[in-house]
Amino acid sequence: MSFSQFALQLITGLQISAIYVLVALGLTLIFGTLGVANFAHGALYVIGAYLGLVISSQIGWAWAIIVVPIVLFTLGILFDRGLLQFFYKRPVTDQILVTFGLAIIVQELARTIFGGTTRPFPPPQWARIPVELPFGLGFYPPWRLIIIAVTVVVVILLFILLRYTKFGLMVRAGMRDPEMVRYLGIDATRLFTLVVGIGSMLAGIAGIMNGPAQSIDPSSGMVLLVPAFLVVVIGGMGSLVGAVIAGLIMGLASSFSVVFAPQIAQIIIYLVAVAVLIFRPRGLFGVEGIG
Amino acid sequence: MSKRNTITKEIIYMGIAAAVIFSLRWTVPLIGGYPELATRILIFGILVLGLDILVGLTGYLSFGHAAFWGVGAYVCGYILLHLTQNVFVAMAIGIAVVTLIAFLLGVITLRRHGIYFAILTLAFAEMFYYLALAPLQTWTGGDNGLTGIRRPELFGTELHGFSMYIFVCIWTLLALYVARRIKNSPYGLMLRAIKSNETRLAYTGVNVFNYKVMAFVISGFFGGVAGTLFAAYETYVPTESLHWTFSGEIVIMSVIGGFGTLVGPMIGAGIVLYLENVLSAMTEQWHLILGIIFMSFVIFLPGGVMSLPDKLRKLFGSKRDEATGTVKQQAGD
Amino acid sequence: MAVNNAELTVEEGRAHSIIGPNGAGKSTFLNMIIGSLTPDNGTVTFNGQSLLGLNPHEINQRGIVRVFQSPAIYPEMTVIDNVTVATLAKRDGTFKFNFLELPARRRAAVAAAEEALTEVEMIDKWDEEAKNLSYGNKRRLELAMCLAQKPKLLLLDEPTAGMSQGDTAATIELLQKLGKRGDMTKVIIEHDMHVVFTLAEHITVLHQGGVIADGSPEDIKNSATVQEAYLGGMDE
Repeated sequence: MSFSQFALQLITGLQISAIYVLVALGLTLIFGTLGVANFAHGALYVIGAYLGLVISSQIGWAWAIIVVPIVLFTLGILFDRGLLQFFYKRPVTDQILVTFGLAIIVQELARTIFGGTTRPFPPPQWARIPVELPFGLGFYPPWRLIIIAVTVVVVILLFILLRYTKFGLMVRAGMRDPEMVRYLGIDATRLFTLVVGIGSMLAGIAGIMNGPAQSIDPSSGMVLLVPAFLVVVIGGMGSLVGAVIAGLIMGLASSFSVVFAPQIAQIIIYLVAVAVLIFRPRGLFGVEGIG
Repeated sequence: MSKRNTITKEIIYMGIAAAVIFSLRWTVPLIGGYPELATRILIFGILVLGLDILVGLTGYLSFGHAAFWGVGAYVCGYILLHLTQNVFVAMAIGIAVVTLIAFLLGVITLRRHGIYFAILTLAFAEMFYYLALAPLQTWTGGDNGLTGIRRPELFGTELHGFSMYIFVCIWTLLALYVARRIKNSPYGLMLRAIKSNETRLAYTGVNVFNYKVMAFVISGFFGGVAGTLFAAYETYVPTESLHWTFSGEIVIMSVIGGFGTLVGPMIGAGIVLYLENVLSAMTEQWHLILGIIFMSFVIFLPGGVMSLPDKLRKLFGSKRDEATGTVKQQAGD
Repeated sequence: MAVNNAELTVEEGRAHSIIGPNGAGKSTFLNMIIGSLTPDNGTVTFNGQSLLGLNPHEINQRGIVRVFQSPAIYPEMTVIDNVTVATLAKRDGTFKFNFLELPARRRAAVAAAEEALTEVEMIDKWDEEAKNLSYGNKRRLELAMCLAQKPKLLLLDEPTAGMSQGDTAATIELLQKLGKRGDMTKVIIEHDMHVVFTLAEHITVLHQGGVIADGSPEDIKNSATVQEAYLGGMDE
């Protein structure tokens, strides 16, 4: 393939990766800190998407960008305080089931409110005109570039938060050794709640970012859940670096396989996941002892 | 506590089960269903029975059961469509394929526990779904599903309607009997030990991995039986059969019924299918209602419908049950 | 390196105790015998056969049974079922294709389980759910599970840890009773010196990953090296 084709596929791959990374980061944060597999993570994504759609079309994009992350963060806190906290000690199976149930309810509510058909989600006005890329690569939808940019910024902010703040230190300590966190007298409850809030916020950002790129329907959340979990598992559950790297791998694999092997484009992600898990069961950067 | 006592209990139990199963075709219409719904309920009953042997006993939650159902249905449907109408041949091949796949999947996925296992089964089911949708669509009919399957034949007569119902009843009764035998066998005890304290079991000299794989294979076998029956009965296999949300529905049925009780999930299947039938006529939001019912069970009654008598008993504080004999306990639930 | 250059020989039929200050490497040592840890180099031989590279379940089937630090039982199952799992495992080996076997056929295994329960004096609780037992009884249950498998070598990892005086005394008594059989070898890791000196016929002392003393209880009591190891700055 030509250089420009390759470059375009690469950019698209990065965009797909960006969404995977945002969702996977939230998932792995929640799992690494609380030990809960959040099957409702796709629902949080969908809420972000639909909320973004409504606000951007009724009030304006600027408001949508501000409101969605805040609302999702709050929802995350409510989610933890209102439901998850009662399931911390219950077996893994129950945690999966209750979050799965919530995911279904959210999906069906979305279907009731917005209808079951795919809704187009227009990006802001200025992002609707294809921009010309340098190096003679041709025209490209700017929103996809925005997605990549926003994700990079979010990831950097997240890493700064985790590396340089006391809160971040506690989260990282908790992810390495949940028992220790309790012994150190750290208020685990508040920690957990904030983590779920942040994770939900990340999912919401992914939702509002990806909406214009892929348009939304009520089942988008469920559809995204499986690849997202696989990204987390490949990267290593509880590993933030892993989530990023695995997200990149999956996004790029997905993008390039459409060109090289379209028949298996859909299942490439599963094949990669299976391969990694057979040869390196705890994932690329997995922390020993989790799972 | 004699051997005769146990056998009598078992006969009574299976007798009641047979009565309920064989009369379903007439009892279901009494509460607003239709006769064919009974056949559906029974086929799903076999499917959830398989899931319960895995989840109820070992505690490993599989979100990939749709794979067993779907593959069984597609293989059987394909054979009925193109090769022969002999129901035994079609079912046998379908079940064999599913069992082999269950073995391969089990060996790969059971190396991990809890969440990893659930996600892996989920991933594999999705893989099968996408395989059926695109690369294999010449065999599976792709998006449209497998249509126009010819009616299966048993010893020369076509099976449909009432004859199909009786055929399914026999399979269901057999499945229930085998499932109970498994649960009450030493094997069943080992599986329960896996759920209770898997590491301990390994140190007790048991090759836990082998036992888990066998449970998975048996569970897949039941799924294969159900899937092949479904293709034979419905004469159509929709692609949704392989979708992971279908796996989710199966789990929902089992939770509502009560994991670990064998009959519980079957009752759960009946409840869900019945509600689906009745509610979908009344409202478009039937799935939402199901979701809410499911959540309520998970939060308030995780043991399902089967745990209701116990819960009520505790609520009203009736006198404690007397200890039952060892042999009874082994032969009972 | 938790254990370095440690050599231990246990005589058949004896009660052998391994002691040492905290961090001496006792548990690591035990884990290497039982198969949860693989030594970087060296051998583990039992009855002339090497145990290296074997899975925990294979090691168990060779007759080596372990009692855990905190009683490892099956909480949701009844006491009798807990022990029956052990007897069935002994009967059927690491895996048996017996998923259709009728309950009547395992009468012998259940009887053996009842026998083990009687020996630890817990037969009256056969129907109770294991999770409802007291700590001391859970320990007894675990002992029953181990005994039921007629082990050739019983490994006990701090069996009286966290126990009250009464429970400890009861456990010592139980272990002494079992010790009457010459056919079972016991290796006991312990901190409680009273337990050690009551039960052990042979004692090995580990310190900082190596063996510093090995001999009869008398020898150990009088050994200066041992006293120094315990009193010289190491916490008990």
